[in-house]
Amino acid sequence: MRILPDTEPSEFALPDDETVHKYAYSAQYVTCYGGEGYINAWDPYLEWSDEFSLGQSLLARGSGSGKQTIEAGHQEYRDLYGDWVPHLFTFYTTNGYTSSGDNMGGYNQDVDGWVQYSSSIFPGTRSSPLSQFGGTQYVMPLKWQLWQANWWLRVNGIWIGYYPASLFSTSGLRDQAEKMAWYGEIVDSGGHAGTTATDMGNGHWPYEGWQHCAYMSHLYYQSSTGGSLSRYNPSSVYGTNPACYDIEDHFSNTGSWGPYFWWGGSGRNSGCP
Amino acid sequence: VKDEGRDEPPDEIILSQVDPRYECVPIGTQKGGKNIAEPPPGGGEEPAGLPLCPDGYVPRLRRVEYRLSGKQVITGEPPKRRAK
Repeated sequence: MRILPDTEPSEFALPDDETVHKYAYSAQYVTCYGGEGYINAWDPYLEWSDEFSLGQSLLARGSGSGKQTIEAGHQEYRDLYGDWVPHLFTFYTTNGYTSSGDNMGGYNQDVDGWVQYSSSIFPGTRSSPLSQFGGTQYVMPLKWQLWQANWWLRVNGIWIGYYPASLFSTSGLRDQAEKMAWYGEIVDSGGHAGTTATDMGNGHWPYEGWQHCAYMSHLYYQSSTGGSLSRYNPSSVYGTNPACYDIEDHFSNTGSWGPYFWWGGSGRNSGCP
Repeated sequence: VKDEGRDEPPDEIILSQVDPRYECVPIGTQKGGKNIAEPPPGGGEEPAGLPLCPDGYVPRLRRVEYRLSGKQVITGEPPKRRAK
């Protein structure tokens, strides 16, 4: 089932002239204080060093230049990390992506804002092990929780650090979020002929399923300050370029995976020239 | 009077002796002050293995300067193409 977007995804990064961001997107608009889920971990092919491919969680509140987000997930980006392998990443903005810098926004610990707690797992570290096509599957379990005025992030069961809520405004993420989103995203940098062949997920398609396509599962949001969780049930689910990258949702699933979706695609192909 | 020095954690950032891609930051010295908060219940133990940093420090990627537009890095250099 495809659910059309109910609002423009205004948290998206502002594109440059020729760049195009492409999404396999889901979002639920609800007051929340965190959330959790698994991101199936793969090593996507990136065609160009100035393109990225990611799967991520996002909590947001506000609009326009007042939009504030905290984000975390699995990202491959040669121009940021200097290699062609995926990394755990965090990102935040206090100003709708309009400017970055210390205590304003940016990646990982490249700007001040994030406070590191774990001695072993940290934003920017390489993501490993990775799933094999037709073989063993690995996930990156993520959990956000607003706890004692800090937005804590747990990865693989370890609380790794936090964004102090004091970074954010009272109309933003100071004491709650109004949206949780889980999605895949790639950047097509556009400075080349045709559509990029950069993979989303593992470069395969939702209809291929288990061991062959990337998924996000066990998706819940935190519905009270006390920590109780509710099923993720997004009102907005779509692929911006479904012939290039797509999403197939199973948010009503009552099996062991809970709410989940398949996501990904290969980019350039006969239907996505 | 004998000066006993400061009873504070060190301020300096040091290079990881385990992997030069990383540096070690005194714990709690970024935004939030030097008193690092306690996490929520429900976390596990740190995995065993050789720590990247000495006690009192936490790791991060070595910082380098770059410009961002939204979530995109602007290098000013032509992109490199990767063979499939």
